[in-house]
Amino acid sequence: MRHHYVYSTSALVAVVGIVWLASVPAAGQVPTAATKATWDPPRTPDGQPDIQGYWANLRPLEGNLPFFGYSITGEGIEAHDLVASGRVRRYANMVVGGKLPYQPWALAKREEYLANHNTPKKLEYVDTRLRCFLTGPPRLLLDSGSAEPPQIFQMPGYVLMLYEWNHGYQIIPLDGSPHVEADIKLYQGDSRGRWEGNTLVIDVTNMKPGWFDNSGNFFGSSLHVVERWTLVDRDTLHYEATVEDPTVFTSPWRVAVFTMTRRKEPGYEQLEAPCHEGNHTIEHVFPGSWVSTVPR
Amino acid sequence: MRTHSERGFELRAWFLAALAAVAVLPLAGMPAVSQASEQASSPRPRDRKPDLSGIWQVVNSAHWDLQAHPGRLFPGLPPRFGVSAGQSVVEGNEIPYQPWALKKKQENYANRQTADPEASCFLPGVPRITYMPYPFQIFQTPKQITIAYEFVHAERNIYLDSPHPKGPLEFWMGDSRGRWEGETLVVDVVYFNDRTWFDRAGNFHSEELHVVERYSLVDRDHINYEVTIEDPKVFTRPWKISMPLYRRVEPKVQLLEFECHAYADEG
Repeated sequence: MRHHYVYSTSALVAVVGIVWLASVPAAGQVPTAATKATWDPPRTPDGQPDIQGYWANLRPLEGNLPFFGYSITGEGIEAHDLVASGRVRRYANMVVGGKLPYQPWALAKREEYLANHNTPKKLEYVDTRLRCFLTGPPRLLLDSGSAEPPQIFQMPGYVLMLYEWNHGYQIIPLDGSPHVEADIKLYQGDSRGRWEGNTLVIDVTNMKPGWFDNSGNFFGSSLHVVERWTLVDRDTLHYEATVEDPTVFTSPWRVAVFTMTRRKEPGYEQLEAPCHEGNHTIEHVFPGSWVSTVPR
Repeated sequence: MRTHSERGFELRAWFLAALAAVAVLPLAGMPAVSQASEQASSPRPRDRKPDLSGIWQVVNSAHWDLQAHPGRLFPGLPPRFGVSAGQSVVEGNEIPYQPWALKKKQENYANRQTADPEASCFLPGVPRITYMPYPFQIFQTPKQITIAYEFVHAERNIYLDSPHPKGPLEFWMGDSRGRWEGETLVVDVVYFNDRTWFDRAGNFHSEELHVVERYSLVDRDHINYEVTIEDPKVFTRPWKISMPLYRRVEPKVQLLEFECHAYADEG
């Protein structure tokens, strides 16, 4: 049985390919947005609550965790041999209620992905993140960002979130403009934001179908994510999200609160973390296939 | 593999070293030739610098070849996807290669269909990313200017308040540090790897590439983009390119995606 998660980079310093996934505080253990809605935060020159800067993840970190076998619902990966051998622990649930409300056909599909996860025979069983595709909200924060939450920038009319992994960026216009045409599908989706008190509410549509994690929890062509980033005090950001896709789920579901804290190390900067440029995952998983002939 | 906290220590150590060394690289002193004109009536952000923010794109055929070139076929492509003719964006139309490097450029040209890193959908480096035929968006704040590019979601953070870190380092997109010289944003870029090209015609550099970009707002919708390129391993002297950047003025225009490697894997 092979486990190839070869992710490399030419940058001497940037460390790529290690995703630290550990437990997330369960919803309810942290102050909710509502309890903190009344405080008056520092503001940007154009009046937005100031969430600019670098953020860090408060979740406990458990060392070198390969990112095979990661499930946002914390279940369904017990059979994975890395889990069985104790080399990977199960991850905590990130979903309120602990289960995704799949339609019957979609649950069967997810179980098919899971059953083939360890020894993929088809490209569709391979997590696209292993191929360095951007993952879009909410996954970009929940796994890429769990190691390195974004740097946040604010300008009149925009919030910009910069992720170190795979130099992913999320541009969030605040101008009230409509989403791009439905025919335009994007790996990162199309974001529009607005401020509700101290909460940045981001509406995301136009996503290409993809996965929420790397064990086959998936969405289809009608994903709609509403992200809520709340500045609960000067140095603490809470993230919550509501997810719906009527082509896959029977009802909307929620991502549990994820807490980030402001980084204060002087001189901290993100580094270039290229992904595709040194990625040989597919050649290893599918030696000799047409995919592995794409020059790298 | 390293843990997150190890990485944090590494970063802190890195920056302490950078601070201790005060490693400000010498900056190529090319005079700014295009200050924003008196008539420029661009909006001014709070720090009173010209506001470069917005979505921009180059309109020329420099991505095919920086030097003057006729329209022609590109190997492997049907005629309608061939090379569009273009006048030189290189000052004097001469790229001053050392003799060995000129031979290498000619080899690159002969093998351009597959040898070009763009054929592998790699990050294209600087300045090539600017004149790829895709838009990019400049986000400007007083201490950091970030440019998000549509092509392979490339991104550059240009820090205005700190020197280059201590090397040696190599990045696909280099390390960018900026400053304002009057009305011109000057960006000094070093720490490249030797794997990117300047165009689809095989023009290349080594890891000693040093790029100085000058962004001068000419009027609300035009930036004069001028670049000085030096690389003592490859060229006999510094050389310059220049071209306008045009603002994308469509009311609803926004960056979309060109996820080159993903399309290849999508089949």
